This record gives sequence, structure tokens and C-alpha cells, in this order.
Amino acid sequence: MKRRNFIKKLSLAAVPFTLGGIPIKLMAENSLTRMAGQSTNDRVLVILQLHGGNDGLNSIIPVEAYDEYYRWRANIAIPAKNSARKMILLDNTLPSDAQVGLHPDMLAMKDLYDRGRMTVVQGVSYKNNNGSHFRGRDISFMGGGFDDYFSSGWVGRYLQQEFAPKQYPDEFPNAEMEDPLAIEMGSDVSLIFHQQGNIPTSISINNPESFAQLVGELEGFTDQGIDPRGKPPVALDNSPYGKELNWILGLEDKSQDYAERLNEVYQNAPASSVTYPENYPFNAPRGSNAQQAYTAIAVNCPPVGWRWGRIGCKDKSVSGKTGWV
Amino acid sequence: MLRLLDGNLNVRGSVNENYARELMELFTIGRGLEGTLPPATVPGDYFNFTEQDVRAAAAVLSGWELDTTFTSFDQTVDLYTTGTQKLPRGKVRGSTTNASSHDNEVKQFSDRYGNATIQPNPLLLNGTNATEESALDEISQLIELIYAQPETARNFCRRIYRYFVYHEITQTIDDTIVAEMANTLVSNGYKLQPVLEDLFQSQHFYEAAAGVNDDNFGGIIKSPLDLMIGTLRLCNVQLPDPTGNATAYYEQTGELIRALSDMGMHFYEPFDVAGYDAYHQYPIYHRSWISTNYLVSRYEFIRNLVSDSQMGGMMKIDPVVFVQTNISNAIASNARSLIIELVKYFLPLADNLTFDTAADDNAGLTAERLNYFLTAFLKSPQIDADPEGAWTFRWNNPVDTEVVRRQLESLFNAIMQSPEYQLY
Repeated sequence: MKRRNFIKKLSLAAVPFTLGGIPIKLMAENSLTRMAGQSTNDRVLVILQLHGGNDGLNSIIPVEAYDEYYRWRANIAIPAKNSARKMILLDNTLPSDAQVGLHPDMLAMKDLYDRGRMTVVQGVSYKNNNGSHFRGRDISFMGGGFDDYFSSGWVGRYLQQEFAPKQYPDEFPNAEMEDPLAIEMGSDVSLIFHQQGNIPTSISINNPESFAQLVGELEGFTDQGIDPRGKPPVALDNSPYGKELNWILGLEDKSQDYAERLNEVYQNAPASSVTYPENYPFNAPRGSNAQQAYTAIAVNCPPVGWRWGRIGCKDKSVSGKTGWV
Repeated sequence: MLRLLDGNLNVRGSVNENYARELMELFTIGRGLEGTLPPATVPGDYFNFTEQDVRAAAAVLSGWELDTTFTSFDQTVDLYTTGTQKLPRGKVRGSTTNASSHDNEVKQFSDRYGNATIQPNPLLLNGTNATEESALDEISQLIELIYAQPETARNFCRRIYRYFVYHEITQTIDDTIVAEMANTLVSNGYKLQPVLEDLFQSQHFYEAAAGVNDDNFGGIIKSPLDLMIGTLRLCNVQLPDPTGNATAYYEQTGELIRALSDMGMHFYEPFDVAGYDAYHQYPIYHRSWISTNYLVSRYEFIRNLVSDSQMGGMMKIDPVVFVQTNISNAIASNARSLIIELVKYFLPLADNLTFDTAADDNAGLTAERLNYFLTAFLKSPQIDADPEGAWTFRWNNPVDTEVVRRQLESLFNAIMQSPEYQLY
């Protein structure tokens, strides 16, 4: 499947901005942008999850229904005109009922859109929505319907299929795919990378250098080759103890398998040549109310989880070895 | 909840449903056992409650704001004295005799709640006006209504079961063990202690499947807090006196809280209103505590506590003192007995332990695993021709105390930086 088809098929919207104290710093220069620079092509799929409540209607503002929008939220509405901070009209070539305005701080996204690099998917929901934030999030991670209860996520299943018949984690890394199938950063473990009946297809990591160093020196990781790796006695394999122990062991194994590789890629990468903004909002006048307000948000918000999927593909024509999707 | 779930924005005529929704979905009756409910056919009907019930409950909860000066809270009253206002709470908007932002109409619930209604008690009204007392009374009616649903007790007991036994709950377990627990909870007026006593004395708590002893043991992944506090207490690590040496006390507890964050637990600040993922996130539950990153942080926490050479942490476990204090010389001087004794202290399954690979079929750990501990203890690096004999000699005499310390550190690190130590 071609990358564009993949993305189209999944209606994936790339959203290249973030709020919150830590992620701004992460974006400015972090290990993943650096490692991504090592890719021999642009086949990197990044999924950013903004955790928490974003005001969708003030990010993407309805144009044709602006009066109604304004009536419902006069106190917080983004001005349509006559203001230095009025909304940005996204695309006047769209049919009138599809016209939207962007929040005035979304200039960079307007630029992406103009270059054909961004799309907006609005009104995302599911049939028989039960009003639960948590169920809604689970469904978006699991990629199922309203009555599905999968124990896997849509990226996890995609990766399983993509690399079949090879099974993760037992048959990875291998000669065709020496990298982790996906990398996850942030403060939780997303269902999105889970596969049926085994550990998730992602490696969770913040700093490849310290990760490799710790995995290299901690006693808990130096036991490979001289012991049975804590395998439970066979009789206990299907007991709760056995199942949880095998789960932890699987993740311990993968830490060892990938720590050095990740660090190697990281060390070989030049520092990013892109200058990322350090402060949000990026184009608000210094000292403006808006800037202060967003600084307050940045301080009070929990870190936004963000994930970065490196998805290998088997198309060897691209780079002569494992490529990137 | 007035702040976290916008209760202070919930006023008559402009109802905010956030708290009412989470009160039902997260804190009481819940969404049922995942994957077992029939698919909803009517929009807004979630089986245990409906959108109508969320709105009705929101109306019951309307008309309150933050009491930032704690006027409703008498700090001189003992928290455990019954019949008094004990905990800080909000206050009604308007005044206590005219709760002007409270929705004073009759609240109609759906057939999921037996078409119940909640309305103000006429005796508590001030003329036709709602009062603080009448609004509080409506909240009591709401709580009574929710707790009267059998599913509420069932949902609480599922959470207790997951916390103490295992995260997988089949329909059969839900219909038997959990149902029994729920009966006990209801018949004891929602007191938890009788439920826990029953559970801890039940056969199920100790063994689930036939033929496998201690089957339900060791199936819980320790939270970062369990790992940390459990380790510090087991090894008798003392914190500085909070009154006599407050600076050191806060430095060390600050260090612990940072370590918890590294292991994925933001202490007292769970990411979600639903709490830590480990206690609600179907289908992984407590497995949320283990990622490649968090596991490294767990092992690092142990290394910093145990290894004398690590200057990272202020708190230390002294393995020599631990063995001297807890284990007799007869056992400690024999390397194999010492390992078995320490495994019993630290790891969840330690029955029938043996170093003989031909005889470990019924053991909690494989003989290979014990032999690995022996290797980590005395043979990495191996400095003696007869490591076990040399250990006995050094321990009994005692000589080469630095060697003894280093060898015990290796053993403690091997046992506690392990998948087994993450379980209990």
C-alpha cells in the first residue's frame, strides 16, 4: 500500500503543533526529530495525541454558520474580521458550506495546508456515541465500532499484518527489520500499538542515549545468556503469575534488543537543521494577553502524550534495505 | 468536583453535565463489564444509565460554587465524629435560604432507574425557593438512588477484585465471585471491610484453577508506589524525622516522588479524571505500569538503593545489615540456603525451591533461575576456586567485608531487578 493511500484510508490528520510545557521543548530539539533525520526517505508516520480538551470550534471555525457559532459563544468567539487576531480563512476555493476559519495562531498550519500537506477531518465520532470520553478514546485507539471491545489497536494490527508471517516480538529484530516497529514517547502506554495476545508493537522511550546506557549497565538487563530470563516454571505458564511474568519479560527482552540500535541511529544523526519555535503562541506579540494566557496553560497542563510511529515497509526498491512508511 | 468537573459552572437553565456523567460512568454504577453488554439500540441508552439520567442528575447537582473561605467547614470538629459537617464542600449560589441557581423542578429519571423522580422536600423549602438544605437533600436522594441499583455494588466489587486478585474478569467470575462480593457489600450497608474479609478468606483468593497451587498468587503488577513503599519498608529504610529534620525529609520524599514519575505514576496527579490507567483501562489494566521505559526506571530505582557505588540516591539499603538482622547465621553462611531465604522475602512464588534441575517441577521458580542467582552472587566475577566455601568462610569469620558487601549487593540487585519482583 502506498503511503498516501494508507493515510487516506485511515483518514489520518497530521497535526504539527502542541501545547504544554514539555512538548514545546520536545519539539524544539528532541531525539526523535534527530533520528527521523536519519531516514533515507520521508517514510515516517508521526501520530500526535493531544490529551485533554481542545476547543475544536475555536480551532476550526465554521464560516457559513458563523452567526450561529457567534450566538452560542459570544464571550469566547474568534472574531471574523476587524481584529488583529481574527480567524484565518483556510481556503476560499472550497464550497461555501465547507469553508472554515483557523484560529489566528494557526498560521503555520495554514501554510502547510496551502502546500497540500494538511487536511482537516471534522466531526469525528462513532455510531451510537455513548457520551463517554473514555469509551470514545478507546474506540479511536482500538479502531473498532461502538460495540467492539478489542484488546489491540489499529496501528498494532496494521504492523502485525504488514510484517506477517513474521511474529512480533519473537521474530524481531531480524535482517529485514532491525528497527523497532514503532516508538512511543510521553507519559502513558497507548492501546493504539497493542496487538492481540502479546506485548505492544512499540518501544517506549524518551532519551535513546540514557536508555541504552541504563540497559547496558543495570543488573536486571545484564543477565541475558546466563540464565533462563526469569521464565516461570512450565506448570505456571497459564496462571495469572505466568501470564504477567511473560508480559514483563517480553518488554524486558525488547529493551535489550533495541536499546543499542536506537542509540546508534541517534548518535549517527546530525542535529536537526530546522529551527523550531520555543514559545507559544508563535506569532502573538510578546507580553500580549494571549501569550500570558497560553503560558499559564502551558504551566498548568499535564504533558501531552505524543507518539511517533516508525513503520517499516518491505519495499526494498526504495532504499535497498528496510524503508520507512 | 466543583472545580475538576465544572460543578461550579452548573446552574439552572445552563446545566453542565460533566460531573453528573462521570459520577455515574466512573465513580459509581459504571459502564458494565466490558464486552459483555448487548449493543445499545436506542441512542442515549447506555444500559446502566441513559442520557436522560445524566441530565436529571446534573439538574440535581446544579447551583453550587466553590467555598474558597471554607465557611461551611468547622476545622475544630473531629473528622470522625458523626453527625457534623466534616469535610470542606462548596456552598450554594445565592444564599442558604434562597439557592437561586439550583434547578428546583422535579427530576425525572429513565426506566434504567425504575422511572424514579427526585424532587425537593417541601419541608426544607423556603416558600417556593430552594434552600441549601433542600439542595443537599436532593444530592442525598441521588446518591441513594444510584446505590440502590444492584449494578453499582457490582461495579465497586469488580474494582476491588481487580485490585486484589487479577485484572481479568470473565462472565462466570462476574456472576459468581463478584456477585457474592456485591451481596456482602449491600447487606453490610456498603461497608468494605466485610467484603475484604470474605475475599481474603475465600478459596478463590488463593487458588483459582484446579491442580495449580497458589494459582492466583503473584498475578498483580505492583504500582510504582507498591514497589517503592514495599521495598523501603521491607528493607527498613528510614526517612528523616519530618519535624526534627524537615529539610532532609522533604528532599528525600521529593526524590521519591520524582522516581515515581519516572516509573509512570504522577503521585496524586493521575492524568485522567478516571484515575491511573492501571485501575480502569480495559483491556490492559495494571500492565499500563510496565513499558520498556518504566521497567528501566524500576530497575534503576533498585540499583540506586542497593549499590553502594551509586551516589544518585540519598536512601540506601544495606544488604549486609539486612541479612544480619533477618536471617540466622546458620542459613546465611550457606550460599544456597541464603538465596532461598531471600527469594522467600522478596519474590511472590517461593514454594519447593531447589537448585536441582531434575526436581523443580513443583517449584515456584525454576532451578535454572536459582542457579542464575548463585552465579550473580558469587561468580560474576568469580574470584574464588570454591566460591560457596569461600562465602561460608568469609561470613562466619568475618573477613573481607568489602567482598561480602559487594557479593550481597550483586545478589540483591539480581533478585530485585527482575520481572518476578514486579509482581505480588
